[in-house]
Amino acid sequence: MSFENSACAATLHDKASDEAVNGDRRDFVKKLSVTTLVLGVGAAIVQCGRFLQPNVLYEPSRVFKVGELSKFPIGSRIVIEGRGIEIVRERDGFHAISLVCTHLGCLIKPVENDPEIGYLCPCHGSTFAHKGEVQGGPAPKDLPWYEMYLDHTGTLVVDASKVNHKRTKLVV
Amino acid sequence: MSEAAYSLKESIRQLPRNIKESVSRRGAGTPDQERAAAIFGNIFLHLHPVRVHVNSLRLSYTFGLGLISFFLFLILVASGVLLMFYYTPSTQLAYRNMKDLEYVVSYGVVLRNAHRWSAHAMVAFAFLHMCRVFYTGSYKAPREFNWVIGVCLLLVTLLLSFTGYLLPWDQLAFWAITVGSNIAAYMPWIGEKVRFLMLGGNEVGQMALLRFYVLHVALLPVITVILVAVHFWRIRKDGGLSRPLND
Repeated sequence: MSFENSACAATLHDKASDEAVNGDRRDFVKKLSVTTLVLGVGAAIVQCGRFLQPNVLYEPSRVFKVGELSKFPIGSRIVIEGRGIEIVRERDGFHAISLVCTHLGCLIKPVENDPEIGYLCPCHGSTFAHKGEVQGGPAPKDLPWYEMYLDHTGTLVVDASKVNHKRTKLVV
Repeated sequence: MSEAAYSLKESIRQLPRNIKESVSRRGAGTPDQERAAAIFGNIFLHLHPVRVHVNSLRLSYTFGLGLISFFLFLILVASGVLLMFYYTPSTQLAYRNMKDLEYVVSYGVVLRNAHRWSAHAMVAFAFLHMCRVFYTGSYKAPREFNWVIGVCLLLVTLLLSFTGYLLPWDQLAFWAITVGSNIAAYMPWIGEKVRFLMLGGNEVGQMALLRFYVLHVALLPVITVILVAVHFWRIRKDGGLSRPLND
C-alpha cells in the first residue's frame, strides 16, 4: 500500500518536472527551427541577389581609343559621340571630361563662347564651369575628369573607369 | 451481368448530363429549384454581400473610383496580352515593333493607345481613389490594414507605369529610365547596387529592357492580382464600403 502511494507521488513529481523539461525542449526546438529558417531564407535571398547580378556585361568597354593626336588641335573641344565625354585640348595639355550630368545622368551640352559657363544640362538646367565645377542648378557634384594616356601607336586612350581626382592634364 | 452494369451505349447517352452535373454540382431538380439554383450558383450575382447598406449604393459617396481603377487594370491586361503578340524585348526590334503596331498591325494603334491611356488613367484613378478614401476617413479603424494594402497597390501601379515606359525604346523612354534609375541610385549605401541590379548593368541597355519587360508583363501584374484580391476581400471583412454611420 505504502509502496503504491510512493510510486504515485513519484509519478506526479515526474510529471511536473517532465513538463518543465518539455517546455525547455519546446523552447529550444522552436529557437533552433526559427534560426534555421531565418538562415535558410536569408541565404536563399542572398543567392537570388547573386543570380540577378550579371557576371558578364555586354556593354562597351570603359577603356576606349578616341583617335590620333592630330584630331585634337590646341584650343579644341571635341565631343566623343556615344561615350558621354569631351576631349579638351588647351595649351598646357589634354583632359577628358564627363558629359554625364552628376544630377540624374542626362547628357549635357558644351556651351560655346561663354566666358563663365562651359556646360549646360538640358534636363534640369544645371550649369558647369569650363573645368567642370558646378555653377548652378541641382547638380550635386562637379563633372569628373577621366584618366587618359597615349598607347604605343600614339593613339589617345580614355579610361572612363578611373576618375582623375587630382585633375591633372595629359601633356604630350 | 446485372442491370447496373455500365454499357457503352448507356454511358454515351449519360454524357451530356454528366458534363452538366459536373459544372452545376447537382442533379436536375424541379423548375423552381432550377431557377433558384441559377441565382445561388452565379458568382456575378454574388460579388456584393447579401445585404448592402443603402449608402454603399450611393454613387456620390465613392464615385466608384476603386472599381474604375480595377476595370482599367482589366483593360490593361487584355490589351497588354494582345500587344505581347507583336512585341519583342530587344533593343534591335522593340522600337520597330512599336512602330509596326502603330502603322502595320490591324487595330494595333487602337490597342497601343488603349494600353497607354488606360495606364495613365489607372495612375490617376488610383490617386483619386486614395483621395476619396482619405477625405471620407475610410482609412480609420478597422480599415487601417486595407489602407496599407492600398498604398502597396499604388506603388505597384507606379512601378508598372515606370517599367512600361521603357518598352517603346525611344528617346523619351531611354532618358526617363536613365533619370529614374539615377534617382534610385541616390539611396544611401545601397543606391548604386540597386541601380546595377535594376538595369542589369551600368547603363540602360539590352539587359535593362529585358528586366523591365519581365517585371512589366509577369512579376508586377501577378503581385497586383494578389494584392487586389486581398484588398477586395478585406473590404467585405472590414464591414463593407465605409459610409456615414448616422444615416
